[in-house]
Amino acid sequence: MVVWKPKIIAFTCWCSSSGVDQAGFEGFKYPANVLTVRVPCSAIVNPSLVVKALQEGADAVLLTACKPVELRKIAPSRITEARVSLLRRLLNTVGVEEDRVRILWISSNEGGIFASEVSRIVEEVEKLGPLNLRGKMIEQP
Amino acid sequence: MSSPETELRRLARSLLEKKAVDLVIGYEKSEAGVRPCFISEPNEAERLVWNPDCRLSLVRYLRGFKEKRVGIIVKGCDGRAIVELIKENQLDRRSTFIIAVECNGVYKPVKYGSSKLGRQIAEYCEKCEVRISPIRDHLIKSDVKALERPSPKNDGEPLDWLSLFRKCLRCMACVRSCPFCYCTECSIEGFKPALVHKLVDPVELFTFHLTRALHMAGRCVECGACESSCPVEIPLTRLYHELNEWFREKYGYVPGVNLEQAPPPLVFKEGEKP
Amino acid sequence: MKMFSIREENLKVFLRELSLKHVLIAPFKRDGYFEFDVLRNPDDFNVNYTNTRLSPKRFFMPQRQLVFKHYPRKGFTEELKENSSVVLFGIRPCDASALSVLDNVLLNPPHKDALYENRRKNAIVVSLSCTKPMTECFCNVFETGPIRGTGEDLTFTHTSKGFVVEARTQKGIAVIGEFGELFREADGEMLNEYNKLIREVLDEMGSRLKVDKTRLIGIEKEAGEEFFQLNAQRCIECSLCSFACPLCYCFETEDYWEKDSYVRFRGWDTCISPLFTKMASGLDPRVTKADRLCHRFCHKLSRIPLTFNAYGCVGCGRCVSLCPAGIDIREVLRKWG
Repeated sequence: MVVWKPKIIAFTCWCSSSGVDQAGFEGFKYPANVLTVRVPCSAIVNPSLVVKALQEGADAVLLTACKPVELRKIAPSRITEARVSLLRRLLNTVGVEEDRVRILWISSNEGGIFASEVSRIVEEVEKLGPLNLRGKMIEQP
Repeated sequence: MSSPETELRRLARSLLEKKAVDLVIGYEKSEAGVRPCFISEPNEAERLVWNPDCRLSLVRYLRGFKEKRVGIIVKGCDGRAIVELIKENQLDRRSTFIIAVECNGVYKPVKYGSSKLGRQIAEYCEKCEVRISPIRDHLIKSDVKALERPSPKNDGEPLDWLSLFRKCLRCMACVRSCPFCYCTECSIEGFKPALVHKLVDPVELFTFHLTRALHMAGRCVECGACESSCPVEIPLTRLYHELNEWFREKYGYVPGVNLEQAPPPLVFKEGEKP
Repeated sequence: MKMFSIREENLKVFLRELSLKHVLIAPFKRDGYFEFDVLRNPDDFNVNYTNTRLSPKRFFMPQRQLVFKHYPRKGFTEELKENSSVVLFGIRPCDASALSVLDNVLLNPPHKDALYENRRKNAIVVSLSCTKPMTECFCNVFETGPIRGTGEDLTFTHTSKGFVVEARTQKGIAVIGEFGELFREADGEMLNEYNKLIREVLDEMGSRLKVDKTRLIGIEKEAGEEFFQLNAQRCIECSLCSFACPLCYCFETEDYWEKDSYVRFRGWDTCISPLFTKMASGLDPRVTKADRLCHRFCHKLSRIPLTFNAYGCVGCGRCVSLCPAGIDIREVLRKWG
């Protein structure tokens, strides 16, 4: 029997992706099911792409962003936060668990926090089970 | 007192005679019910009608007449759409003459192969609170009492959206009839890169509808144009209403009610915490 | 052809037997309107249904179907699966006639459509006559109904004493032979009622719309006419009319890369869409909405008859009823017919 493992796409912003690198340098272990996509800023991640990721088979999507308190400009984090909050509301409405889209505040030196948070998220997504959107959409009654 | 229909005709005729507008967009009678019409001659004003079958929002036609002065007949929701479009710089207020008609709700369309008979007020009209356009040059009051509105059904019963999306044909009628879908190239129809392929894989309908919902969030005025033109009757307005609720809870913003209030995604207040 | 009859209570038995041997597709009510789908419980079938919202063409030309796969090392594989035999029961005569027109268009050598043929040849089409046509229908114009169409294998007509069954093809006779115990030869009284019914319904429909369809040929010369300009203003360019039409057969192909192979899909396309005739160079022979609308009507009413000897419209009235902007093909018929 094939053991199902969650597939998680993480959009990491410029700063927090160096936090992800940090986790590697310092030898923290975190689950290998997280695939990171580096983007210039978390605020440029179009929510449609998050939806598309879910459609293409991701079980959860993670956005890592700079902590708002550490930013000189507050707007980007606010935008990301609002978008994710809106998207979670939408997913909830259409009957997909909202916890499949998450936001994680990571600074560039917080490799340890990233590793521990990601392990926790993977565990939680494992509890939610596979999303299997293809099965749900194509299945005929 | 004259009926709203006669008043409407008289107004349209005088506007066209005075050459205050080049064109009046309204509704006319057709064999299957009511359809949009474009009147440029004063004599033709007699064709205009007003009844609860006038459900398609005429605002989407305004983008075709950018060079002309247009008189347009609007319901409450359509007026809200005009307000939003002005905020988005899509409409010139000065070249539009807005004839607001008090709306008491429209009927659900009885479409081909429908097993239900009899007219029923549309679901989105039951929730509607704005019956007169907030922006107007002339108001025509309704002479009938409001259509009997059944008390809104409890929103609690959740719909199985995934199975509703599965029925979708992707005919784009929702996009094309929407007053807000003014993009020349639709992001969910584009070729390269294609977010949703032209020959849509059923699973892509999920992306299609969610993307559209995200684009409508905080803008949708719940005029029901998408829902009433949908061939498989997906209650899209309910989905967009849910997102509008989010905007109301978070920012206290209701689209299309106040011309002065900027849409929240466009404003940034100093010191605002995420 | 020969006339048979079946008693009303035997219809359910017939449906049950059919569903055991074939895939039975019949209309039933779902979410407030009628839709074709696989009928699992014969009790769901309602004789008094009006017509289905969407046409049954999707069982023969699905909205998206696989044409072939190409594996870089192995080469092409045509994924033409042999389909199990399908019975479309209770299709209305207009939609059945649409299938016969599609046969004319798609099964004529030398340009045979293998995908369509593959699905069509295994299908048995059983129609149920319209005794109460809807207000949008105008099938009398093209002689595709309301009692008898042209593409069906069996025609069921509901009368007061049961169903009159007419076997129209060899396939239909074979079905009757298969379930011989359920059918009897129609008696004179029933046939009288049947003939009376035909006359009544035709009279009723004839009073609505009287059109000389032969005069429609050549209307493309009127292109650019004011009529199309007026309607084009109204048209919102959704593709509902083509998608709901039982006869619109235009398709588009799309290639892309799946895990290990290139795949080509093909699916519905619509001439109303501005992208339909747009070429890679940017040239577009049908630029304006009026051109496209004129093309749609002229193709159905003039060019298909000239090329394939059958009209491209069967008068089901779906486009009339579903169009959000109220564009009405009956106006074209009145104007030029």
